[in-house]
Amino acid sequence: MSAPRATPSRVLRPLSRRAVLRGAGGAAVGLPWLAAMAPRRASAQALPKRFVVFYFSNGVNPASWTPTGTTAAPILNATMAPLQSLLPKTVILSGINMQTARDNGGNGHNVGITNMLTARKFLKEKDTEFGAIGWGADLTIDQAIAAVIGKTTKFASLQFGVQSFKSYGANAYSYISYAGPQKPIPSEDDPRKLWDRVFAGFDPTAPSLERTRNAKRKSVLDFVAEDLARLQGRLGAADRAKLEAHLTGVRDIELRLGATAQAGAACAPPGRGAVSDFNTNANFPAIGKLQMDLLAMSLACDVTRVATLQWSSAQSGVTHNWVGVTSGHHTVSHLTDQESVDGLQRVQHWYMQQVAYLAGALDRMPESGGSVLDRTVILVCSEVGVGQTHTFLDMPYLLVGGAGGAIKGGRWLRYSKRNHNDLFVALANALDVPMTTFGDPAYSAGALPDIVG
Amino acid sequence: MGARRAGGVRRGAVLACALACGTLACSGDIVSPGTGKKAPARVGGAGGGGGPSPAEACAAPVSGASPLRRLTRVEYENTLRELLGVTDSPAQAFPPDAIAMNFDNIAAAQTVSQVQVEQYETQAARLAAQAVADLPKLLGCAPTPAAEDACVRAFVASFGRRAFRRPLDPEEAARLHAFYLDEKAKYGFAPAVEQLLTVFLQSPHFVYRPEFGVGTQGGLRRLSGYELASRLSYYLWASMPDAALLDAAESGRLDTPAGVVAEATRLLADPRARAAIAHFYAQWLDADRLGDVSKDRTIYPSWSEGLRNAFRREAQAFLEELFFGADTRLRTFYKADFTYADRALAQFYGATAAGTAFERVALPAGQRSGFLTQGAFLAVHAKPDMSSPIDRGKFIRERLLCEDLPAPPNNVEIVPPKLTPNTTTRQRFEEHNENASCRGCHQMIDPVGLGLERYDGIGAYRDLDQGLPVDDTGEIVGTDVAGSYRGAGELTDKLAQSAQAQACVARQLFRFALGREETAADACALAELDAAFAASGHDLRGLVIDLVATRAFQHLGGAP
Repeated sequence: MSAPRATPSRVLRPLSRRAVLRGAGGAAVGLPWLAAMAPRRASAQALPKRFVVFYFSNGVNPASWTPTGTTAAPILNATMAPLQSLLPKTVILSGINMQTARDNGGNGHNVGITNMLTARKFLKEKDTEFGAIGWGADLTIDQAIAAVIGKTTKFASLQFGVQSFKSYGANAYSYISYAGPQKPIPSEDDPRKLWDRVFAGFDPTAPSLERTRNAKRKSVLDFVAEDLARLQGRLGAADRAKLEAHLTGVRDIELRLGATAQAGAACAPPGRGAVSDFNTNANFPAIGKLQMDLLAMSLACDVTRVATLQWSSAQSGVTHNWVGVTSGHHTVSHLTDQESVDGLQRVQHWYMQQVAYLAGALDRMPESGGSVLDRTVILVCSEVGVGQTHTFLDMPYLLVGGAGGAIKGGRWLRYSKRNHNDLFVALANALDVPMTTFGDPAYSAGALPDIVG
Repeated sequence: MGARRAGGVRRGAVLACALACGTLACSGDIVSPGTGKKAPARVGGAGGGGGPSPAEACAAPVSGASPLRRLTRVEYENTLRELLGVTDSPAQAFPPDAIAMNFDNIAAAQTVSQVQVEQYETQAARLAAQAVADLPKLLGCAPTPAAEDACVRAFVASFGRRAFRRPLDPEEAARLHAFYLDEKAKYGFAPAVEQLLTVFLQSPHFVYRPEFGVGTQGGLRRLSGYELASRLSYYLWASMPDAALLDAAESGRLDTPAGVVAEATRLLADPRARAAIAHFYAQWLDADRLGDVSKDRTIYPSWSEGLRNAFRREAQAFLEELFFGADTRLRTFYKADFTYADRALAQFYGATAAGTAFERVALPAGQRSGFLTQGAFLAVHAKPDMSSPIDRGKFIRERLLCEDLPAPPNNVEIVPPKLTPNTTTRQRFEEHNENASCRGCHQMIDPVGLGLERYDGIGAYRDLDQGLPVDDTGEIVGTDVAGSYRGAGELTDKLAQSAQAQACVARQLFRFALGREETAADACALAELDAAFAASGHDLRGLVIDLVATRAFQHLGGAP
């Protein structure tokens, strides 16, 4: 029998981070851009601010939505109860109207959704035929803000959807965001595809490989952009405009190649997640949570600073069985019997729980002495004020988050006949985006007072 | 006759209709808001006398403008399968195609979002990496280093001709070659070919179908042979031209109208045309929507997944036969006394089938007639718990008679009346007739669908509705077949002989094939198309071919 081998005496060197990532077998683990996210020397750049839109459909019931109390000490009503702990970081707004929508004419939900973030009346189809509905008439506030604060991030903005196309497919009810006149931006309803787009990618353990890949991509994109420009030159005006969006898109990708992120300590890229069917009604809550997790991490990892979260479409038909409502959301919103009214309030309460989940997630991410939420503002909105009447008066707006100190929470601001254009001006200013009017200038008098301050 | 309704209107049981209904153009005219330049919904034809004759319309050399078209998701995937043998659904992460006029291939709706541009890049890179795994197969040559450049030069020409669906001009071939040389100097031969392929697959000449025309013919700019080849293959195959079609373009066979028709005939006879044309009629007729339907099984216990699937198969078989089979007359769409069913579905229809397989069965006389009495129409255009004369009437008006109906007023609650015992569907929708502000629009819609009341919410034949005898009288207001009727038989008689309905099919196909709406400048093409359709006895397969013979198909159109 041979003698046991002596343990070699050597100092075990600590494993490098890269080696850990490679795993025991030497296989590269596909985590994104950790090279870029490695702690770097402090950047002279100011910390980013972020803008999030949280959209839910069919409005609210004022009796259970509107707070009581005072401006400085609001008392939350039943629907907003889930936001109690976040109240110090929340501003409740009353008395703001979608006046453009009131003057628009047409189907309530379609008008609502096309006016909601554009602050303009919709565009009826000119020489094309989409039926009697309209499309957004120009870029939405999230895009206007992204054009300024989203210049250096991997994505100028990201659109997260929860069954946004399910009810109506690719028509005007399904979009909240526009890049320009009649240029809707689709929300991505499949969390896996979002993950693929945002968090999947090249092998981060070899930064020189990434540089090579980017250089190759740039060569190709250069050529394609040149091709597009040449083709554009040979086309008539209408077709030129169509290619312009494409060309802008190509140049935008080029611009962002190798964009470095200011990811904070809270950045921990999530797994891809297994989702059996993102379009099944019963999975609506679970998909929403996945999207909210991805959204929160997108902000924390600074791959974008503007995000929209779209729960279903205008005139949503989702059946909220999980709060005991067995008819579709839109149907219930039009019924006046007590059982339906109570059910609808539970639905709206459930959406506020989702707001609390998202804001809570952002608030638990530490950042420079506060949280990610402190440097973010979430705009909560809906396409109509009250589902039953399709009113565009006194729209249900909430602001959650401090926008880097620009917005003080814990307040209930009551306005009288102010237009939502001006809410957006105030929000943009809070995010350091210079702006004096937004949307249809005839409806925009300047930033709403008291929001920033 | 059913029970007389009580003195006033039963508020709880009927649809509330707001007074603002009167502010819309609901005065008995079908007015479509905001359409401006649209061609009139009603068109002339045999017996209609509303439009110009072909001679009149074609006197002036005008034709509608051709907008730039982009490949749809299906077209992109079919093209890549043909071009590179790709079978792994490369468009699965693309944003959905926007729908306009019920079709997913309308140019004006084809906006390009950031996600789409990213996806073009992602897929191009991925597919190029896959393709260069077998470089000799891709290039068609396995060159020594000295012969590499010549091999690639030849590849650019031959692959380019297929990818761009036309020969490359010398300048663009030279640019591509220069690009390859640059990349080769940096990364080597194989990566340079991969880069080249990545460029091809993102090129606007691949992703779009630009058209410029060449030369004039009859005062109009004629499309080139290659441009016509793409129009034909994307219309009839939803894919790129095959080698024979590209050769036909090259040899000048597509430079004459007769040549275009001959190639169209070949393409239509190819199996690839089945799916492409099926996509046309599935969108036109909403025939794909059975999957979305849910029914209240306490009201309809015989509703099941089996029945849903049977309806789907029935519609697919019936419509395919209608466009590709022995009897392809439009009349058969309305009046067929047969359908396709297995034993269970046949029983549902009150017919008999010999075996369990799907086969042609004769329908019971006087009970059923064509597509409008099939489950794929009746069950889709109904509510979960009742029939829907409004949905059915709207479908007939919009899809079969090509009329635009205005949307309901802004503040109307769209809530179907609840089922109440001892009231028929007809009675529950009475408010539309009684309320003056609703009547203007709804007299166009409800009476059209009310004549189908013998078919319940899942398409079963019934003599009683909520215990009361069915009243299946209906009326068509306006059109060239206005008047009252009783039951599906008389309704389909009217529609089968309606020149407006005949013209409507032609316009639906026009929109699908050309990816745009018809305009006043298309009066010639439409007049020719209507005349050819009539001359053939309204043969649908013939219509598909007749379309390619029109000036709208063969010319660029637009401002001179």
